[in-house]
Amino acid sequence: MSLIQLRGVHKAYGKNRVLRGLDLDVTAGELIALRGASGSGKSTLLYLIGGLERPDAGDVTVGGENLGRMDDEELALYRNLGVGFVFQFHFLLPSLTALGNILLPARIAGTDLKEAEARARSLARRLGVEAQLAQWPHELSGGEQQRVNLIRALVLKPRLLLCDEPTGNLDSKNSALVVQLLKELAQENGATLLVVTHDEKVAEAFPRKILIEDGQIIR
Amino acid sequence: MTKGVQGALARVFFDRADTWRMLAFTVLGFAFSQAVILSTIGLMDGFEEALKGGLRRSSGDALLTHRHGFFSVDPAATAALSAAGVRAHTEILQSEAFAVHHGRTRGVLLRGVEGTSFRAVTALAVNPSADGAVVGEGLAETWGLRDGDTLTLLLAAKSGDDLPLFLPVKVQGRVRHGLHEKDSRLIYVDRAYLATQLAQPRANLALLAFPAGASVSDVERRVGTLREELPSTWNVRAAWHEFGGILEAARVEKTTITVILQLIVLVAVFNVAAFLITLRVRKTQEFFLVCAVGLPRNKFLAFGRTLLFAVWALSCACALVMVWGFDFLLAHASWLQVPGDIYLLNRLRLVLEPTDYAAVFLPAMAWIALVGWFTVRRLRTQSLLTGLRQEFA
Repeated sequence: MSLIQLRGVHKAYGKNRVLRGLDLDVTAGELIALRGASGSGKSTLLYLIGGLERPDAGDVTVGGENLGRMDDEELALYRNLGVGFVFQFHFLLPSLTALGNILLPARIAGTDLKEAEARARSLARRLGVEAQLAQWPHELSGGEQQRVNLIRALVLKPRLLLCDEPTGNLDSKNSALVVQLLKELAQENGATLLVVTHDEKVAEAFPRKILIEDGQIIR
Repeated sequence: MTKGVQGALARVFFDRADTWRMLAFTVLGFAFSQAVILSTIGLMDGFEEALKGGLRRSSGDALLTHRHGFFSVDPAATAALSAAGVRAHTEILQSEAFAVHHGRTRGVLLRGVEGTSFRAVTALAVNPSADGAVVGEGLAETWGLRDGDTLTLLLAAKSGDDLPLFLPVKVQGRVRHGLHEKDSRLIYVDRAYLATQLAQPRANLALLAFPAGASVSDVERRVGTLREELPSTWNVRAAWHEFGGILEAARVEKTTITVILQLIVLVAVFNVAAFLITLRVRKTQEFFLVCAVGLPRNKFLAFGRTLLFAVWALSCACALVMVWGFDFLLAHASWLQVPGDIYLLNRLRLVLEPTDYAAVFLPAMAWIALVGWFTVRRLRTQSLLTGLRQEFA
């Protein structure tokens, strides 16, 4: 049975029709690369699955729950506990330390902070940024910020890990490392991984590749 | 929303010292504008209270007259007075007169009083002997009267064919009523002496005193009771009735000023709006990000409402402190004394009723809620993805 199911999904911004009747099925645990040219709708598709947007028409169902029928609060809870986002621009709050940023979803969820911090430290150790946890975002390098971003996405053990151009700012060597890391962490955590990329090499690293053009899945 | 989230949001939104400073000055500005209105209202009410208190000192709590002019308080009226809680009363024979001294003339109000009962009702020690007179401070000052000086009083003739009545009296002392008008116009003589001269044994005015410590509203309530209890031939009114015009003017002015001074609050509300807009511009990224990682938008807005409420509540608290400070200065600073040549009132104090606080604080809350609503309406409606893309582009 599919974990994610999209049926006839349409999305437009003003007159710009980004998605045009898109259908998609994703099984739990899959590792997927979403490819497409700029403006093809791949990021919009990711954010629809992540509950950051609502479709204009059609259904987005995750784990049997239709996201379009959720109210604001249910959707926020879904984003908080069910989804880990890794954004292209690291989106770290400058007013919180790296650890503060990582624990933000846990604070919102009201979960045990000690447990979340222990997990954060374990992931930080694994990613080589444990020493940077007490630092402020502006004190971190781009790569360190990206890893902090990744730990924040994984700290609540989401079943979906959604990454929007996670290697967009990295060179090819670091890109390969990040992709490998994402795959390992997703598999270790039993998460389904969807990565938006326009980089062919990055996409090649994934067992399933989806190509989007003009708001529709080509293959 | 958990306490941890609130704390984290507070840290996110108030991470800079200048944000705290802005908040402090916004609160102080808002508080000051409210304090100005409260102080103005308090002064108006305080003036009314002090004026009424001053009048009570010289006229007791209430005035009793009779439709037929001259009267004696009969047993039925005495019973009604007792039932209404009148602890003492004094009967006065009062007449318009001219005072003449060294070729100078002035229209005065002559009061024939009986010293003991008059003292029991008012706070004035006036006890003239048979041919003596106690003169208002203002008149004595103007004419340079000293004890022992002779003053001639001219009273109207009983009929058109008679000559005016000349009444020579010796000045026995001065009296301060606390009101310029009374000080410059009232002369007290012995009632029995005046009654003999006028061949009128009865009184045409009685002053009433309610139990000591009766408040202004208590006096007004008891006067109402007396009006119901006494036969309709009697007329009873509060001691400050003759100054009703001034008091009514003060009340109208209070209402007008309360409305007009809302403009000051409006100006302060613009400061609040500026603070909120600055905060929104600086922190829109944070808003969209915390919502993206799972904070429900309405809970974030609840944080905003809490912040606005805190601004309002803090400004109200600061306004109260400012008002108390002003009240303290009124009571202790000499330069805030009411000029003594116009009113010799007790020191003015701010008098504020719960309705006065409500008239200032509640509109302020409404203004702040309106400003808050306008400021965050974009955050309420814009999609998270659009917001993130705009803010982090």
